[in-house]
Amino acid sequence: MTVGELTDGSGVTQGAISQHLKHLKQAGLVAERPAGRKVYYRATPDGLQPLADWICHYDVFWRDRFNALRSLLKEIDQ
Amino acid sequence: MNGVSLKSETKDIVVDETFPHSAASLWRALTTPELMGRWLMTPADFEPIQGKRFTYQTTAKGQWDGQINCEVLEAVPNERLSFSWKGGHETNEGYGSRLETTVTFTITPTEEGSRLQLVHAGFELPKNEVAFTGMGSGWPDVLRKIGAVAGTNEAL
Repeated sequence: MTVGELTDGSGVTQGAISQHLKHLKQAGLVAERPAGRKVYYRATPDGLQPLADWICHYDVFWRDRFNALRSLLKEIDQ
Repeated sequence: MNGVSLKSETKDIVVDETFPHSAASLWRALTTPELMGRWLMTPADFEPIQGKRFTYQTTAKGQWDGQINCEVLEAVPNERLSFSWKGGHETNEGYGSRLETTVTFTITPTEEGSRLQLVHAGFELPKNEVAFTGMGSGWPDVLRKIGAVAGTNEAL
């Protein structure tokens, strides 16, 4: 997808799109592929994986802890 | 970035369950170090007093020693306990990456006992501060649009 295609219908200026793409590229969320005079961009959702791993760790952590809390309360709070 | 509010994308974890116990019992389990150690982790120097700093020791990774640094932000007996939860290191990815988050427990009495809601808030994209502070609120739309097209058009 090119900057021009992203600009059409997005309601955002081409300059703003280019800026966003630059940042997304730095963040590893977008990859570019030059072809002739055009540059095509595509999303690389794998860039979100480190965050997903960390969140997943805590999601599992808290659910485990809630189960442990339930057992503890049953034991101490007759 | 004229007129565009800067905001970074954060994610929260929410766990919300009802327990057949009183709010006072839950509060005791949430704030008594000996009991905390039996379901969560044993804290060092914890007291349910606003401004109190305490730590949890977890598994180290890379340049991070595994210590979680916390500070009590709010402690309302039998109702709410909130504390900061900071740790990790910017050289780590995934587990052990830099973390500046907030944990809040809210207890609400119900007919069957008490509802306990946990919100672990503020997970930010790691290692990409430059990208996120430089972006306005428009970027999620752009990313969504690219993603939608990328998913349907292999010619990209």
